[in-house]
Amino acid sequence: MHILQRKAKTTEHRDISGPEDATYDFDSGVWRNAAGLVAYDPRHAQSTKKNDIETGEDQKGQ
Amino acid sequence: MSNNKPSVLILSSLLDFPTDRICHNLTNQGISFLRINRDALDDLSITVDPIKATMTCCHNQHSWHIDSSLKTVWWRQPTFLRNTPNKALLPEEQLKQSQWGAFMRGLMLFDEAAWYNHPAATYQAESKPYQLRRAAKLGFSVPTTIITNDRHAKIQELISENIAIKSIDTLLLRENSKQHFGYTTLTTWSECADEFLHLAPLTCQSIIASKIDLRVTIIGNKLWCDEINIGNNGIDGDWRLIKKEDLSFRSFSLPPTIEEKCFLLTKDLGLRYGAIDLAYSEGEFWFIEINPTGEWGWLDRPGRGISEAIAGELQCPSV
Repeated sequence: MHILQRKAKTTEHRDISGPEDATYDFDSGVWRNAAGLVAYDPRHAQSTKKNDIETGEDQKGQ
Repeated sequence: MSNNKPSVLILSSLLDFPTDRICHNLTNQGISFLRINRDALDDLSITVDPIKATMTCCHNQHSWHIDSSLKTVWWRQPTFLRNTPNKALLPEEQLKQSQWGAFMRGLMLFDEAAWYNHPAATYQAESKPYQLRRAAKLGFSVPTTIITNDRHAKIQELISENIAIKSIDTLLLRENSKQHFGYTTLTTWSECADEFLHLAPLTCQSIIASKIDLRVTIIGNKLWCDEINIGNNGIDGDWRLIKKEDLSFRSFSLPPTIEEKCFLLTKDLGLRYGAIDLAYSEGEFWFIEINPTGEWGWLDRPGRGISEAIAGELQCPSV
């Protein structure tokens, strides 16, 4: 096996889904939940998810 | 039915929460924008005239019309699909993926707007060998780097027996329910130079020991620099392997000469936004990589002002 494969970190693949308690406001371009904007919710505040599955950018550090 | 004429076009995806912050700031500043998410395109009714450079987008009872009044575009998309899916796509899925991907790239037809960043510049700048070359030419210290699939390459002489290895491009391999992701790894050339090396090229670099990892975020003529630590200590190897809750980030003041190099590199690569990774070790700053679509949300602490600055830049480009 190639060294890059041998050294790769293996995890379970997980499908990324939207926040369960929020709705997307298309006109405003934001997700909102009961507390306000999801983007400023501490649970998501530093999320890096651009759902960039193809580049894997958001898989780093997982 | 309401009609809007946006001056800012945002091309993103639904779960890109940092982009929500940009939209929130644009709204607060009274800037008309249209956000299109690549994973929700068939919810929209879109019509484009590529000759006249106009686009109409309808959603529910609202419509947006884009023409020459478009000032800026915020591009948060992959420029090409890097990884082969591990399961066959149905014909309809193939159709949607291929055609919408081409459509999004085709929005380069809005060539009078300022792009953050232009897809063609992004495509070129994402090439790790190319960006290393450009960084070195601009005067950055760059780790000695050899890319090879030759087990007989003289890596011990050119670099060292002990090396850092990485993939040339993001390595994300799917295997049934599992995925394998490649990180920068400290190892030896002896471990690499086996009968499998010829299958794919490998990037070998000199190791930067006792380093502080730095992330430089550039938007237009503004720059932020953060150091990434565990407590008060630097991190050996790839910091992305550390759990996020164990990491700390704080502002770091770069020397003016390094700041200037960062701006020069961003401009040299045709970019208006860049996320640059540096390593600071024994008084020297080393260029690691630049990401034209790098994340910034994780650095946007209250008072930091990154999302506000991006919105301001989209309203009025500084470069």
